[in-house]
Amino acid sequence: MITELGHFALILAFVTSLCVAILPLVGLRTGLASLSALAAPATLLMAGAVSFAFMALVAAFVTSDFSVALVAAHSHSTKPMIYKISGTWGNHEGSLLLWILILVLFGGLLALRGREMNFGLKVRTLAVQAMVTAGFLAFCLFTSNPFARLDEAPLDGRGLNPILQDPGLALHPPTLYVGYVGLSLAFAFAVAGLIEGRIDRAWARHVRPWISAAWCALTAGIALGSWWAYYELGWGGWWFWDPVENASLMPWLAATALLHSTIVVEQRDRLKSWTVLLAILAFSLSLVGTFIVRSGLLTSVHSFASDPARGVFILGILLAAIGVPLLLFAIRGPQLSSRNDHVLISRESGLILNNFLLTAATVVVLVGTFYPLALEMVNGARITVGPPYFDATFNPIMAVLVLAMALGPLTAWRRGTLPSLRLSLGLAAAGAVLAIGVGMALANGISAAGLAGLGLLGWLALAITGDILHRLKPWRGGIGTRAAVLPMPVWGMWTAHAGMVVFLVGALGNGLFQTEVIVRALPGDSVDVAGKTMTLRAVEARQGPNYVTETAIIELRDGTDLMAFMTPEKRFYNAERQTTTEAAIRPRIGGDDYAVLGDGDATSGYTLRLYRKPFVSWIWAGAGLMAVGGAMAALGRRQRRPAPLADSLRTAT
Amino acid sequence: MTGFLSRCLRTGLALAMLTMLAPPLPVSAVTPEEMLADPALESRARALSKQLRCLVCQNQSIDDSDAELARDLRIEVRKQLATGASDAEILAALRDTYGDYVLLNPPVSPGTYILWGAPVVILLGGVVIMLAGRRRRTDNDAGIKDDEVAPALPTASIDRRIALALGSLVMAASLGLYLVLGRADLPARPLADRGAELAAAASQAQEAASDRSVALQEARAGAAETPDDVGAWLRLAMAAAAATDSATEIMALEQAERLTGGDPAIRAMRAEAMARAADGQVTLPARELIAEILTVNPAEPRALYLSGLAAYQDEDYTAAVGIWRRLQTLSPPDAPWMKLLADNIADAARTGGIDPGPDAEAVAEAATMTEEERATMIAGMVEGLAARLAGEPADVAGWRRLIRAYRVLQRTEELQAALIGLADAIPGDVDAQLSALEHMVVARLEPGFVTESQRLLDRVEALDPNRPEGIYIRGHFARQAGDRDRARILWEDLYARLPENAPIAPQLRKAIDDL
Amino acid sequence: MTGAHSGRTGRLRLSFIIPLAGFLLLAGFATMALMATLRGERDMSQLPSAMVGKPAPAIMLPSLLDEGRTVSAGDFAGRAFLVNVFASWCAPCRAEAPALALLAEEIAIMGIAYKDRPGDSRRFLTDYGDPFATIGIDRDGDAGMKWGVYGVPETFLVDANGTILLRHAGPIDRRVLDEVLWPAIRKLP
Repeated sequence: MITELGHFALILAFVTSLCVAILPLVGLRTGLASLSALAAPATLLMAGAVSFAFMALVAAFVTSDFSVALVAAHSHSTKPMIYKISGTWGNHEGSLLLWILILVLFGGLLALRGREMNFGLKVRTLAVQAMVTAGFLAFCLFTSNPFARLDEAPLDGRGLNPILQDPGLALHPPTLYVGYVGLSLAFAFAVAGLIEGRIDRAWARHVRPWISAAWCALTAGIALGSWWAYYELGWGGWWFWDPVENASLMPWLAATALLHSTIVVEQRDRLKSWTVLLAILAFSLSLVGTFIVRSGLLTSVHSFASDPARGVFILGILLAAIGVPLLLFAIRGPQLSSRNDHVLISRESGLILNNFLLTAATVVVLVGTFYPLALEMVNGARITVGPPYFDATFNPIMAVLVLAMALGPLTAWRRGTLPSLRLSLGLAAAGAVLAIGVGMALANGISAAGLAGLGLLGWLALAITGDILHRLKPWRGGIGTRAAVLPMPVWGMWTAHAGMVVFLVGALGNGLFQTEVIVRALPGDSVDVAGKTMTLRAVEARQGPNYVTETAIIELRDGTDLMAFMTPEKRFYNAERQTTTEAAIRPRIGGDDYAVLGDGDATSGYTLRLYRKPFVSWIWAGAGLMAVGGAMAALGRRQRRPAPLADSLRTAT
Repeated sequence: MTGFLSRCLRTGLALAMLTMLAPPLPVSAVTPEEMLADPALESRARALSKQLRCLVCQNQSIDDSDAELARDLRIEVRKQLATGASDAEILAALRDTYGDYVLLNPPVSPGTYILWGAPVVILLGGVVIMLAGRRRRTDNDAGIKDDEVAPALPTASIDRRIALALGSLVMAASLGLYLVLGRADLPARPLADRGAELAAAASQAQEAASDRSVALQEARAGAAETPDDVGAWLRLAMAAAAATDSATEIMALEQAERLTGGDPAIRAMRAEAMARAADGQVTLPARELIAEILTVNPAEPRALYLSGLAAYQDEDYTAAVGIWRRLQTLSPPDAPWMKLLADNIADAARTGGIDPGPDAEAVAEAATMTEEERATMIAGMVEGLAARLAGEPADVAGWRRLIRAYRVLQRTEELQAALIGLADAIPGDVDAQLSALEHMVVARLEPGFVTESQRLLDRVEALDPNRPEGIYIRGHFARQAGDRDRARILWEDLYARLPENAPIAPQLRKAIDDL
Repeated sequence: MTGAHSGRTGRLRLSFIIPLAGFLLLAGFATMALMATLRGERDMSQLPSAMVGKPAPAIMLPSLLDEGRTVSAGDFAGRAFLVNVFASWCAPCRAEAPALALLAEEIAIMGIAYKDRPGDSRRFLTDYGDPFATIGIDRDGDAGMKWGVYGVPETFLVDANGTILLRHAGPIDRRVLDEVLWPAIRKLP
């Protein structure tokens, strides 16, 4: 019964979304203000209805109601409860419903908040949000209905792909979706602004917290996905330049650019049309990211089963949701142009450079991802654009970005001067030289690209340190006061930029100094891995809740000290008849010990893949810091501050 | 005929859809055995492996992939390294065999100029635009609106009547849509409430399994006791079928066949068992068996059904529909397989996008038709095929089917035309030319096909001038044309080639003498 | 850059159209690909073979049915033939057996038993029919590697000069037979 109520709630939300998409706009145009006033309560109704529908679906999974086709196809009675719940969104239909749920919840939050917002802007934003909602609810109800029922309920379900029976599934998609979908509000704000023909500082002030929140979630979501791949896929990689990963990276890059350009709009009332464009693009890219892999157009290791018939619907939605706003932008955008009054060395220039590089990186990833498809359509040739291409194109752009990232925050709005940068520039250069020297001393034969990476790491780390020193001046008295006066966003910026440093430590440490040993070992055999000894003690069979394992017991010793037992597994899932490998990981700040059990038997030995991955967890710690920094910046902007505070600070000193 | 056959219908297709199936060796990414002893070579091998795409995987390098093909490629890379090949040579060799697709780093070529040029163009273009933008100091204050100057729209209050009216409308519309999409008639079936059902199903399954094995044992004993009793072997076959023991089933049916002297019905059961053993696919040996059965008894229902199924699995839906429809017309209207048959015909017609032809009613009517009417109906179907072939004269399988049909219908002239059609579709095939010519001679149709016969004869002469049948027919046509001398020369030549005791030698002698 | 001052006039500016144009280009490619997929013309598992136009690899393989003999593409010197790479463990190979039987009526087929135990291959031939003129054993897939095989079944058409004309990966179904193989075979001289 609850399933059917959920189905009805979903339909109710759909019909309501159609109304909210049209009527409030009609109200604004005709002056029927009471019609427009319904936008907020109706949005709340939608949020409530979809929440109920989602809970109903979760309930069907929890109770293993196999009369629901989705449950029968993707669940199994023997599955542990947590995976019954997370299995709700471990499939196309359920994940679509989760996506829509987040979409309407963001709408609902906006309806509740934003009382201080201009009424017209708020109503238009809610209407645009409802248009997107209506499109995806239609897609959900008419092509991918999660509430489809079976006349004959089977006795058991077909199970969930074992790779997805992992805490990663419980965390990664919801977080990532909050990021993707959070950008919808920036999009709705931008389109509403275009319809209204006004983009101003108030607009930026209202939209910025939403962008920050979405950006934090997106950063965390991507990091979680990368971490999941790192421990689940079993060879310790953390980024593969797969289309699905690229699809999440593109909105992140665009959102990062947006985050920075909104600062310019808010502080200086510049870059308005550009910011609107970025807001549209960021959400468009996340739409493309979420849905293109479900249409069967691109292949990926991560994708759900694709269905070209659904693809047609998706393409239609994307054409409307992206094409129409871009058309609106082409027509209305030129009206938003603003004056330029900054000089070459200024905060504005730095942020423009930041935006340019991030956009260039986005376009490069976009081109690399879709080029094979385009070429196939043009002349039928099939090529692969793999990691080497992105290493050769994306990485240099990001390198320049990191170079600039060190300098941007040091400059003043409108006009900065080189001498004011002297301390930090000197420190940064010294840091670069130092890092390269340390790298060369630690290992021979590091590639030029590797050394450049290390140099950048040192450069950025000390530039940030220099900036902090410059602003707080700990060698003078009153550091506490100075720290207290500094606005929260500055702290957020430092935290996020420091996150980049931490990320680089992880990426470079793992990339340049990883040790890998692949051996065939019998119980009793010892292997030296980067100065530690790993000894295979035994391989035994164990019984899990819905799987059986082959578990290796590996002793990890540093000299004679026993440090840990590592237990990599190979799991066989009975219901799904599939095997997965579970790596054993001993994460430490200085690096991870990582062991994977391969094929083998007691007579010929077992294949073991053993790694020492220095600083690898810093990759995700760095991403985490970035997310925290973003959150600090978002929270700190609630109340309006007298515009260029940093400037006044600077001139005061 | 059991429900199994309707399942087969789909299995055949499902099999065809599974493109690549891994061989039964479990493999995983780089194993110690693959690795080269020389660490320098091995590290080059690893670096190369990261540059190569596993072709059957989705965006994985062969270094990361567990796929069998990835392992083969890794070994190939190492083999070539061991022979002293350079990295570039190895990549080039693999690119030669597998194409650009195998390279994760797309090579610079006309097709990738845009790909590699894009980053450069974007960066340069961006710099140009930024510099241009700096020079263009636009002063466009008019475009700026700050919130201070924004026309403050009053926050409107909600009009209760409008809200109520709209709310009711939304509710009504949702209810209406729900009635279309929803299934209010189905109760929830949480697993916790289905204990009894589950237990019953489990015990039933267990019972059935033990029943089946007991029955199989009993039947086996029975057949062993009375090895001359056809019934005992048939019972064993049925018990084996229920226990899905195809080997035993086929063996039992072979015994029954032996005892009955090859009863077509039992042989058809064996063909079905063979198909079942192959996951529902009508295999070639099964098809041969079916063809044999149908020559003995063209109306054997099971064999007809299977031959329709074979056509269906070949995606020849027209033929499948034709054969099954024929079975419909031959079966008594209350035959237990009529429903299945009607479903299958509808399915094949839908999948093949062909006109389902006579609907169920018409078929039921067909069952009560007179012999003559039925022949007309079949003829109609054959004409459809003939019409299609006129437009697609290259369809060899179609011609062969048409030829079979005309032979059955004994439509001599059409048969002749079809034989010629086949001969023209495969002009390189001597036998096809000859069989068309032979039929022409036997049926005395030469006058109607003068140009065709010449064409076919020319081909035979070009393809194999020494074929005895060819020489004989050439002589025959020479005689028809009144050129007795040429006929005599040809036939004498042929006579000389014949072995002494060839059975047709005396006839040929007589023909020569008659000249 | 006179357009810079025309903010209020609503005139279009080129740089503001670029995003829309880029998106429409991308959407165009996506639509083409989707339509091709829907029409069944775009099969991601089909890769164009780099071997087309190249000479057939002259690798010698032990014969499956005549022990002690070897078979190679050279056996067919002077006539066109098909090469079919198959294995007993490959389900689609079973599905394409009838199609191969039809083809064998008109053109010689060389079989390559790919990564298969000879006993299994022979049983496969008994169960599903033997349309092959000769069959070579490719126990460890070396020949497959030379032919650029990436999965079984695969079928190649080689002309009388020993040049590979065509490659089809995956089972031969009705469509492949009628639209790919028959036309190619008929075009042979």
